[in-house]
Amino acid sequence: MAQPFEILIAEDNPADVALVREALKTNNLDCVLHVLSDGEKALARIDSLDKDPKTPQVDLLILDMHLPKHDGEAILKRLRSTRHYARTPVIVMTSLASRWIEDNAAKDGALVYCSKPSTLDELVKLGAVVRNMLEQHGRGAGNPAPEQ
Amino acid sequence: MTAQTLKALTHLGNGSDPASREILDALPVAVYITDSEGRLTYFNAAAAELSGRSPQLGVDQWCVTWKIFLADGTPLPHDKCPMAVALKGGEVAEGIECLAERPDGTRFWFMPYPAVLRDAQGRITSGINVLVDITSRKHAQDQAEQAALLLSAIVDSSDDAIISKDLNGRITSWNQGAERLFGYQAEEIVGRPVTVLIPPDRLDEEPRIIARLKAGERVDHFETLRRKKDGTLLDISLTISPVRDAKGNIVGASKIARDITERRRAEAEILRANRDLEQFAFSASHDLHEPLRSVKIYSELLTRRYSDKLDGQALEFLGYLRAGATRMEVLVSDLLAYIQVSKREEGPETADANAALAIVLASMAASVSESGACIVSEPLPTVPMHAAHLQQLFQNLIGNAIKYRSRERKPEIHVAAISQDAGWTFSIADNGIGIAPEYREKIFGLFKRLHTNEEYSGTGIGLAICQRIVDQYHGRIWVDSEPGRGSTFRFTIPRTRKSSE
Repeated sequence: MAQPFEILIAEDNPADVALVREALKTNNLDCVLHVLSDGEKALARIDSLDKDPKTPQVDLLILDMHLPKHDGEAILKRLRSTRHYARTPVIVMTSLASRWIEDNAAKDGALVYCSKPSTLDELVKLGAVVRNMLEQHGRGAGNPAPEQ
Repeated sequence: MTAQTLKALTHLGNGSDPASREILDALPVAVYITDSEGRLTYFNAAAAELSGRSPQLGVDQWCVTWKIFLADGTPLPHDKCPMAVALKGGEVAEGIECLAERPDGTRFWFMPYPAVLRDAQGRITSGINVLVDITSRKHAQDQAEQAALLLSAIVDSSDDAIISKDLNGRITSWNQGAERLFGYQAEEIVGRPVTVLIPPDRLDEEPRIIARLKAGERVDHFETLRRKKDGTLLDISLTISPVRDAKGNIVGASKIARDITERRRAEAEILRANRDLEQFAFSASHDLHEPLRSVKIYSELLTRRYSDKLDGQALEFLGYLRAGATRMEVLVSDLLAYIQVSKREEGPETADANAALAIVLASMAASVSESGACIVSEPLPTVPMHAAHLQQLFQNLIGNAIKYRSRERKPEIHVAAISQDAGWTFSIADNGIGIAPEYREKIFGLFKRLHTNEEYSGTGIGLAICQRIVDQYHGRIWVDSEPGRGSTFRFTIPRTRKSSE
């Protein structure tokens, strides 16, 4: 049996974390979800992962833009500046798409944004977005992390 | 009084024939005659009337009057009066103004015209004096002086700067308000060109103002900047009117300058406060949406996932929970739309109403066909407003016409606009349930509703948004209605937008 996907989620609202779990479950995605409840924890985890010799260990980052301490912008920049996670897929979850997000999504092929679900249909859609990102950009998707 | 008249009178006075005396008696001016010593030998009826007394012939000396004063009010002894001076061989200046008092205390102003008669040897034999009553002229003169004093007191007490200039742009008068406002004293600025008050980058304003004045036009509430003596700039409002001479020629201009620095500051503050409020409302509505989203989706999840474990009442309660959250969501977005009406829209400020209506009808296609509504529109004008605002007006008013339709007939909606002097009046007429007269003004208020949510859903913001949009263009919105028959909403859009310049 294949290994479960490793997903980081930077989100301070437990209700939204639970929604993501629901979305994964609905789509029958076998995942381990690591929750980072503020910007500081998210940055620290990215730094320590990048130093870890066993890389890459993460298949996807689900990012809320409005986090305590450091916002999603800072976290995305840090992730993209790492050695091993510069091309890791990211789903920005926001209820208000900003110009900054749109511009970044336009030039970063491994970045999409989607609104936080407010209906069951949207919840299912979120799960589909996760599946799609994992299949296109995740580990073992024929798109290995760059050497060096 | 000409020398010739005086000479004729002298001849009359000299003649002792009754005919001459009759003429003198009948003259409407005061005349009296004295001997060489100044004793009165004759006075006419007009002299008695003017002086308010009947002098004693041969006793009263020098003058027919009771008491005399100089123009400055100092008493003048009779033996120093102009007639006495003349009889004593002195020169009498012409045009002296004297004040006399009658025995009853009343006073009058007069001008004496004394003359002496001489015999063949040149000795003075008698004198004749004509007193011309100038009281009414003096009064008129006093009144004019009083009025001028009052006017200058008013001008000086004004907080506004009141300045006059000639057509060469030189300052000709400068009140205390101008001294306070600009810091120049009248002495140092009168005679200088008005351009000393104009900042260098606005010097082109002056020729334009002068040109308008020469054409006889006024300049009303022209808001601009002017420079004080110390170089600081002032926000002022100028009202400039041409000044004409007695013949009607324009000879200069009067200028009232009002300091509007404070008003400008207040306006900027209101603008800032409004922007803050918009910003606040925007974030608040976003932040309110977030918890609502959780309520909505979890109540949906509960319903879907646990419907077999919940009894009927629990499911009913869940239904209320979801309905409440949905309603709150609509409220928050409507409120946001209401607040954002005042936000500056991008794009041109003209809208083709036909295009705006077409866009709205396309977006409403579902509800139009569901209700079976028949919507007819006349050719519509292009109006000076943002298309988004006009669309919002159509959207809300046509949406209401469909929503508040009668159960007995299919909705028929007629959209038209008529052109008038001041602008356009749009009308959206329906055959719906109508509105009772007592509610026709109320409905434009925020959160004002006439129906329960079960009867007709809504937030009570739609018409308030319409009101706010129309207000922004200085137009008007109102409704005429016959309950049970239908309503006609009308709004006006003025032809030229009132700019804030």
